[in-house]
Amino acid sequence: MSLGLQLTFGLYLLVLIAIGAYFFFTTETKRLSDYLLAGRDVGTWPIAVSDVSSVASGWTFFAWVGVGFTLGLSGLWFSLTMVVVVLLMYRYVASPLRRESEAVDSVTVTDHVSRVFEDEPLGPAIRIVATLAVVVFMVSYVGAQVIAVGEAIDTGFGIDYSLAIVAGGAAVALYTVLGGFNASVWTDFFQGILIFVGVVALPILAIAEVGGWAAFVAQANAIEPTLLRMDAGLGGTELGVFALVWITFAMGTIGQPHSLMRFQAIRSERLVSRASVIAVSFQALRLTVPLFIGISGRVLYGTVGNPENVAMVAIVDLFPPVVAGVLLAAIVSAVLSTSDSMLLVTSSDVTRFYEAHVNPDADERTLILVGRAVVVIAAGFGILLAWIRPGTIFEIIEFAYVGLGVSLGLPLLFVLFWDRTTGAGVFAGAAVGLASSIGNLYLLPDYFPILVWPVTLAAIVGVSLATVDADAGANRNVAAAER
Amino acid sequence: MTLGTGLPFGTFVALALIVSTPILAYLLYRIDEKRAGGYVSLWGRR
Repeated sequence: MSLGLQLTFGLYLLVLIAIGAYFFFTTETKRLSDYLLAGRDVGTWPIAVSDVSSVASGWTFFAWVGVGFTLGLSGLWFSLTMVVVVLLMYRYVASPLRRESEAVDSVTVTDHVSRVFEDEPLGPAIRIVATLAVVVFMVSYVGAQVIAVGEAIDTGFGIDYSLAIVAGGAAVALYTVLGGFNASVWTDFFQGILIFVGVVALPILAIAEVGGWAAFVAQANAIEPTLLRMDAGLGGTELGVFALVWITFAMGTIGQPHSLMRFQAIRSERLVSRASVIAVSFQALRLTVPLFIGISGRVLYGTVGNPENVAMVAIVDLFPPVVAGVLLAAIVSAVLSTSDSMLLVTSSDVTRFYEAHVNPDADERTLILVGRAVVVIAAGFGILLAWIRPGTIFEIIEFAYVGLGVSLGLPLLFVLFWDRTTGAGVFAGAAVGLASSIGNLYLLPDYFPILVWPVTLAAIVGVSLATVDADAGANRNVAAAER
Repeated sequence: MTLGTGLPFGTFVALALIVSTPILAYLLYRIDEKRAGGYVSLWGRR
């Protein structure tokens, strides 16, 4: 294994931990909201770039490359839907969420929907169910990231997978514990730039290696005529279900707490529109290019044992060792940056739960300590999940992404935009979202995640309409705070 | 129809739509800057 490649990667990990240590020693993190939301004072570029890299995860360079390899450009159903949803989220969700979040002093989505209804009978139950959903889906999500880190380090550096997942998990836990959101935003920003370099450089070299664009198209068509097609060779009902699976998967974008936290932390609503341009541009890039990397890998390598690992193989194969080290660092950084944001959200929600139901008199210092302990424990569970490996990276991410979308995203949108939403409706949405995600996956896997959306939507609307009279003051805490 | 890319028409359209989304975001941002002081607006109205 090349020394240059290992040195580059080692240096990168040191920089990452140094950033966490810098914020640990220089920032006076006395309030929980400082630790979690950097005092709601984050600017346009760090917000937008860190938002993208916080979701650009193992799925961009592993799961999405694997999709490109096996299914080709039919994954564009997802890409197109997600880019449009991201634009709509920035334009029409970010500002009201930022405003209401400050009004009720919420730090995460779970915290927000719980605080809005905290004086109602089901207020505590909302926090319990929503926190449970965050723990279930986020630990799954972190587990998928740790698998990706293990694969990258295993392929790139020849370090045993078991050791690699422990080292990667420990690194991300360490700098999240040290620096909180400030470190997370800045490491995400730093990594976002590296991701950009990786995303642009790899497909250019891979397609050049194939023999240029024309050769790439010809060879891809020769290997599998459906690789470049949106319909994946399907028609009629089959195509409809296929497209709906992708579209409903992408709808999960509405409920990613680690991404929505950026909206809550942005310095001013005036920065949102500008940030949307940066975020949408990066998303468009990272949601399309990996598919081409996967197809290039199919052309270059034919059949491989693990299609999700093709980008790693191509990097080691196509680049000089030092450049390969930087690119592997970029990819591992994408994965770690997602993990640190997820750990932070999980930590926030469990800490708020502790504050609300276990120790209401806890001081800020105790809460920060609890928050840091949760990061370490959640990272431990992520490493355990990576060791068990219950599915591919793609399968685990799909489950977690959709689960968060229905159990948190849908209730949040209703809280923000429908005055008749009640606490009972939000509770029903979070509970049914959590249950239906698991139920749809295990009972009707062929239709996952199509069914979870209408079921959860019906639960929120139905229960809200049934209870709206009893809960005449729906959204009352927001209204009271804004007065 | 696909500008010599060799891609199927549907794929080309999907890629074109994805590429045009950041351009749309930029145009909307310019409108927000001009008409709404930088705040997100709908047809120039906050």
